[in-house]
Amino acid sequence: MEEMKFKMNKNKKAQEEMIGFTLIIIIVAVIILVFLTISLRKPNQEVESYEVESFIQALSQYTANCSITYYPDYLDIKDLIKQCSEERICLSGKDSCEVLKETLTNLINNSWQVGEDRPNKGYSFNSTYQGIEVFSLEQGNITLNSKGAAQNFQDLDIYFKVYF
Amino acid sequence: MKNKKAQMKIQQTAFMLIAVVIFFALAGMFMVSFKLSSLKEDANLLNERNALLLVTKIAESPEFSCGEAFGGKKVNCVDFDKTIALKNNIDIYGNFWGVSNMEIRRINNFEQEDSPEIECTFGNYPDCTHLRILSSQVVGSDHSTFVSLCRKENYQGEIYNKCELAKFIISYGGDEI
Repeated sequence: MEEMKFKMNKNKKAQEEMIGFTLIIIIVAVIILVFLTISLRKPNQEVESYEVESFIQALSQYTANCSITYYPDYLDIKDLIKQCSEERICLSGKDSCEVLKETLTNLINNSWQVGEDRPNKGYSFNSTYQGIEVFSLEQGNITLNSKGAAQNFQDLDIYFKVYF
Repeated sequence: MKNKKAQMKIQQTAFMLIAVVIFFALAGMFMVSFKLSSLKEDANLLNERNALLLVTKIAESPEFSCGEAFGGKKVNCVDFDKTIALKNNIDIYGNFWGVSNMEIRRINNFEQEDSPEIECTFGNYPDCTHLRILSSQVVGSDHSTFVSLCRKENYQGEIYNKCELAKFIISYGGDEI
């Protein structure tokens, strides 16, 4: 009877040790998993890009085919955005917003070719004048990785982002 | 019997120690490879940034920049009239910029798919698509930045400023600079 009690006690001790060991392994595995998911998870990465910055600067100085006062006083994109916010009409009879849309769409599409099989998957353009959105354009896929820049010209802000 | 039990205990501890060492070694290796890959990424980014800065530096040099010729100080602006004139005297500069190719490509404001490539010369200026400033053989990798390409235009006898969008491209192999 005494011997049986001793044997049972020994078995119980071994079982307890095994449970403890398993618990430690589970805890360590959970810690490793948490660490791995934190370190490998890629947040929404946005990089400030010098190339995009130079693009916005050059784009804003582009002479558009719209004159409000007299020929050949053609407006640059910065002024055209301002005129578009006031819904002005060009001397040619075209709406300034229409000229702005046409010009920006062609210039951006010819500068940043986007597509599924291209390095750049999409882009988004946004311009605000005195805090009010004047013109925005988006094309292609919006992915998690992007490079972008913003330029401020007094009351005018231009944002451009390229997704890759 | 007691000896055997002790041996078992020692064996158990030894196995545990080996497992712990292997685990830490693997974790260390993972960390090192992770750090190295991010270092490589950083180096690539720095190289790219340096190249972009070099292109901008060349585009902003007095030989190309607009200065105040187009109404106020313009940034990232290349004077097209000045550049086409410079092309004719480019031999004087020799290897001044330390690059193998320097080119300006105009970006059109219309849908262009298969528009013909026309190199700018004095004869066809400004009705052309690109201007090769250096005519040496292209060596190395291409780097580019966007610039505003400005020139003086004539409208019924009145001169006005016309700025377009263009890409300023340089090629260098690294050993030139």
